[in-house]
Amino acid sequence: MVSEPLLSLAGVVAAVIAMMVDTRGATLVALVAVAAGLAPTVALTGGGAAVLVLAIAAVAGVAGAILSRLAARSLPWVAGLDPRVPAFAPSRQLFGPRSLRAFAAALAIPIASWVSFNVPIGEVAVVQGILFPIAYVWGCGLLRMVAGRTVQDLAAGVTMIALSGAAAWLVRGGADAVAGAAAAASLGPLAAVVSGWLAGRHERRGPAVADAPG
Amino acid sequence: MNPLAVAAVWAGTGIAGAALLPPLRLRRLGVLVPLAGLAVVLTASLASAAVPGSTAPATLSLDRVSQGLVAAGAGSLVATLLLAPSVEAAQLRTIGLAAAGVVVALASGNAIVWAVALVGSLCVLSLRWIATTPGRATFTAGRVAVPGAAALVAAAAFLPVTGVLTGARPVLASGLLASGIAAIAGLLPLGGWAIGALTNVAAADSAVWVVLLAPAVLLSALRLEPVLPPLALVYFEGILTVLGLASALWQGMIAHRLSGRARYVRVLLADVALAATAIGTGHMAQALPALLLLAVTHMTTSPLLLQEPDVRPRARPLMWLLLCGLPPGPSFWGRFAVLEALSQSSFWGMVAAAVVMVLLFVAALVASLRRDDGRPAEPLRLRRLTDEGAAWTVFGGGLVAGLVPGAALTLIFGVR
Repeated sequence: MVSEPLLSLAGVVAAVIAMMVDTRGATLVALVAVAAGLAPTVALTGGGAAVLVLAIAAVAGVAGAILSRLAARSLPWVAGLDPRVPAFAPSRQLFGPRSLRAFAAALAIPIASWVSFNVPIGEVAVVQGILFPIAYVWGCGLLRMVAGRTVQDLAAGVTMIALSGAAAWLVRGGADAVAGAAAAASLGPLAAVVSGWLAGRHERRGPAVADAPG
Repeated sequence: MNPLAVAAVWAGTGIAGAALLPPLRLRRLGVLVPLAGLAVVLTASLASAAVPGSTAPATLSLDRVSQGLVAAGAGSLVATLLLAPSVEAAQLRTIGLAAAGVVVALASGNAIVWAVALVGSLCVLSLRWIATTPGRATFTAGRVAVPGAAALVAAAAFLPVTGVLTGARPVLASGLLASGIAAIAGLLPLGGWAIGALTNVAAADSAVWVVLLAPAVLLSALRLEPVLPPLALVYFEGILTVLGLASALWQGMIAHRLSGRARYVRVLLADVALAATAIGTGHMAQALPALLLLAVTHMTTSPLLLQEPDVRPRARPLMWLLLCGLPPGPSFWGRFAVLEALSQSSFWGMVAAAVVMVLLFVAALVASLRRDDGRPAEPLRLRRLTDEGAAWTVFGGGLVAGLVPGAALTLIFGVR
């Protein structure tokens, strides 16, 4: 029997990584980290098939994002949406986006803790007390989107929501738990593919103003 | 035909239309996307209404009301694309993918598939809105509406709660459900995103939310009520009623200070909020007609009134009259059903709704009389003739729905 603090620790580490990552492949990092962090929890309740759902989501997301990025880079440059560029100019503020996300990650701890200790889950056999890592990842995903300024923030948030939703569905159990979880987890790879595609479309430099005709 | 095939046709034609029509310089044929969706949904095999719960994920069943909603929405989307000054390839893809998500959400009896379909639809719409008009107003759709829909994903894990009479689980589930539905339907304080998005993006980009997504999520809310236990129902209905009435009052008051499309968006959001209020009363016999008639109202008025200000066929003032809440406009019957539902649950709620209706009446009437909301007539060339024909057709549809609301509900939605 794995101790619950260890399961929670894995989830918290994964969520914090997914929350703070800001690099070019942030969505992919979030996808892999969350899948790895929640795998022990779902393995405890759903067994190997449950872990497989998260693993397939992570692999499909990584492969899909890389392929879509390469495919997008082979196309001509177009003006459009770069997922890493903020959609609006932020107002002058004391704390930057990462500080806000760190604060949000801290805020999610008591919320996840309350859910874990007070809300039972399960369709057939009701369990309580193992929801903390799932609720924490979900809360962090939600807050990452709310505090986000780029499409990449939204994609990372959707990834976290999708995988935590899938994990919660697996813990809930019941008939067709794996199929339902697969449906929920599918949003994660899709978000990674879209993010990779948009990033690939804008990695190539556009025509310089001086080169433009006229 | 299986509802999954219906969704696949919506998504497939949207993607194919976006890929094929621009190189052929035939973007106007983009109307084929909703027309294909309309044709295929009419051939769908009908079953009982799907209530988000524990059904197998692959089991989809479309009932007559959902079929009517998708069919009427498709017709409205055709009119929107006909009246649009220009049609972009990405708009067709957005319409197809978002509508496919709505079809799956309406047909799924599995809570997680239902929630994921709604999140997917909103993600598609938000991405398009941010791409076409980057800015705080459209980005807020991604920051608020998508997390709001994510609340439904969280709630799905706690459903069904039918047999759970006490404890935190039914309360949390109903709170998450009501918050998610309120965020998607644009109820304040979670729905401020809708104002910015609908006011700033082109009509063809936002029409799916108006004619399909918002009515579909409210229809799901209506269907969830019978399966919620009393404790959950208290919170679910309370949140919807309070947020709905407050939103309707606010939007009704602000509508007077605005003109053109901005005013229409406020009237639209007020009507959505009124429909949510009716659902929050728990009286399904009145709430369902209220929702469907208000949806029909905006399916007929939004193709014209959501357009850019330079799209002004002669039917525009009359469209505003359909919204003023007097017979023979369908808005009269929809708002009357809201009043009827509130009269059975809360006197002061009914008074507040009556105030909203007066505000909306004045806003629509003033808009129909204003000169700046109607351009002087131009020579009728082919393009203008198409616009006029589409505008008068949807106006006629709205008028007929208002003249014989019962027959319209039976014909479109199979509701008697």
